[in-house]
Amino acid sequence: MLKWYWPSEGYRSPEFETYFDQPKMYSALEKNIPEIIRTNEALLDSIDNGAKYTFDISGIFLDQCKWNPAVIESFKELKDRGAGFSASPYYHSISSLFPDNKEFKEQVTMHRDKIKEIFNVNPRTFINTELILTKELSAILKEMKFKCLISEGSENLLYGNDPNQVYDNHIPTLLRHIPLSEDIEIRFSDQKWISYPLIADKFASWIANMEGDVTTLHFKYSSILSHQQNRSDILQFLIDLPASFEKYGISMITPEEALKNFKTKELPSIMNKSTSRYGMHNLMGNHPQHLYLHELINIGEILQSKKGAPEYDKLNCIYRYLQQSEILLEMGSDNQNLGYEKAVNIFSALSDFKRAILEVKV
Amino acid sequence: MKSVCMYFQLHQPYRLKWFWPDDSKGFERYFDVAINRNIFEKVARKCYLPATTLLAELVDQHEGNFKFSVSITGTLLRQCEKWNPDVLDVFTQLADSKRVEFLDETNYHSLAGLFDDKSEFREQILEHHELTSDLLGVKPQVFRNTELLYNNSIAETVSSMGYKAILTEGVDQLLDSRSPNYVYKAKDCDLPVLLRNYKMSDDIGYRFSARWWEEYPLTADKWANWASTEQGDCMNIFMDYETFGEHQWSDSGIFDFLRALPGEVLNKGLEFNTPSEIIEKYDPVGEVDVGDFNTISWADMERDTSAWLGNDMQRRCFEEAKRLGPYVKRTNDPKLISIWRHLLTSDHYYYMSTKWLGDGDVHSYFSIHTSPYDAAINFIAALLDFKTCVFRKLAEMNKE
Repeated sequence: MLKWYWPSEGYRSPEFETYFDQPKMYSALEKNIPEIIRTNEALLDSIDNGAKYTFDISGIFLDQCKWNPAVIESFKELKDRGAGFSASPYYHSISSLFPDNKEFKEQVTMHRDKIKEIFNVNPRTFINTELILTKELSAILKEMKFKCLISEGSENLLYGNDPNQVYDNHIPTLLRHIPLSEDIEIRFSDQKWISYPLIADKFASWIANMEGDVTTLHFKYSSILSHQQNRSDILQFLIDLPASFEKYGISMITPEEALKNFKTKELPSIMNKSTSRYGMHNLMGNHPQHLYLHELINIGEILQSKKGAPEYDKLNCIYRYLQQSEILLEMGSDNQNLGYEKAVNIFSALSDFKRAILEVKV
Repeated sequence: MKSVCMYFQLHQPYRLKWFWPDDSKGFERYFDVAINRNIFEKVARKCYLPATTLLAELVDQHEGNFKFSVSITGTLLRQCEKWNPDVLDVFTQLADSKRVEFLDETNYHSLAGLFDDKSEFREQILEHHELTSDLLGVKPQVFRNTELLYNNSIAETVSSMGYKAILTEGVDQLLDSRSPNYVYKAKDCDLPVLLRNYKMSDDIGYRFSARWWEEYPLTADKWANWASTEQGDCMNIFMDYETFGEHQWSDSGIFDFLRALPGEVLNKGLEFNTPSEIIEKYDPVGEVDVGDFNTISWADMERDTSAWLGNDMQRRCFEEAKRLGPYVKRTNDPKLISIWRHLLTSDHYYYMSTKWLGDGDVHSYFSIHTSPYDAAINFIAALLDFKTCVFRKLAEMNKE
């Protein structure tokens, strides 16, 4: 997240800390470490009970884990017990929306290399930032030798079809089941929710009653942490889940297993629609978001012309951090007026960064 | 009461367009010429032309006994020149009458007076002085700052530039039970200060057509009666010129009120004086001391800087614009400098105000934006782009 940037800091060559609050990021991670470790231990138990999980860990987070290697170690343990890893743009960026896909490919390759380096696996599944799907995405991923794509089962993509199939595209595509994923992600610890408390058996019965080949459940890892803070027994739920599924004759599988097990189906709208979480409006729904994307693209072009400069690598890294989807979501209309106040701040920072790039001599 | 001192403010900003970085260049890349022209023409028709014609008639009719003062921003003078020279002609008639005193202000109705470094403020005042002299043939000697923004260092600067007096708001806390109806002097520099009698001014400017007001309808006779019974040397009635025909529409009877006013005031034994005459006639009775962190103005209920710098978006945009200044000047590009100065115009920041209660309706009345948030994001987007233009230009200059 961008900090409250204040322009009176002056026109200098920026550092990462000029726009981002490093100590705040560090303390946020520090605070969460015991819960991450505890969560991963529960996930190990869950895997021992027959669960299959795929993790999409951003490059940004992996970099932050350098501060505390125990986190990486605990994910390595999950990998050793059979967890899978998917690839995504390194900086959790919206670079797939740029007209030139070079930046996107670079960030995906960076992430794939990082996963290989840390976990010694070569990810075959791709999950874009915020589940973004664009017309070109599937073709680019095929060219990059990915086998599977996970995207959003949003209304504007499905048009009434159900998401419980492997859909045909340049590479086979799984679509997130929004309500069921969000039962876990959002509603799990909501005491006002009619289905509270959610137990594994209840959840498994819902899935058993649905038509289709495969249900794709995708949720933020951080939601497991926040449910714990809300004193909900999400960990027990995850530990119990495989047995409950088994009871209803459902098996948990990885994305790649889904491709092997099921025939792909046709979904005409998948070829010509864009989406992200819930559709594009969260990410690209308002004027500041459009402007911001436009400026990012423009800054990228200017940056290309500064490649020989000594500060290029540093600036390019900041540039990539500025592409994080969170920055766009923050200025979204869902955030109402605060979103616009934040947007003014973000544009102030972006204008300083663009100024700094223009000042670079090559 | 002995004297009535009237001052009218005339200004139209160059409003920003709904900015998108397209291929347009220069001034029109940022400012919406069509909308600005439209608004200018509407106000010219409803206010500038009829009000000025009437005032010129009244000056003639009262043979030198009806006098007042005005200031016209450079931004508006340039719009008149470009879009309707007839308006400039009626202003010139006022100037030629010699009964109307013209005051100086910043050329761009800007917030430059709030900069710590007063050099830009001075330049804009000089620019206004020259333009007023060129177009209207008068050389102002009294100063009024944008929105009557005032503090000790503004007074000091204005005094050092040789002005004879300054106008500002008769803020209650500042007066501390003293009356605004006397001449005061600024702390440390002895510059005479004329303080607006906001109650009597707003009776005309704001409340004239307010049906909820117990004094509605206001007549010139009634108002002149109030004025004559007040204690003091001079009653300073400062208001927007647009009171006549734009804020108060013609069908409210405002022009009839104005037509009757000089006669009624003179009948009550009061005289009209311009600011220069006031400071000749009356000596200062006390000092006004306004620290730079307590800057006052005539805006909103707060009468401070909060109409322009009240929220984070406003302060951020202002800081951005201010900080860019030295770099804009380094380009030596008159077009870029002019754009930058128009970005300092107070109105842009006013549109971003989120003070909805009380005065919010006034803010939204003046704005072409649907919300202050739109206004802010639009300003910062334009500024980001403009900053880019400035630094591209500087990079080019470095190459040569």
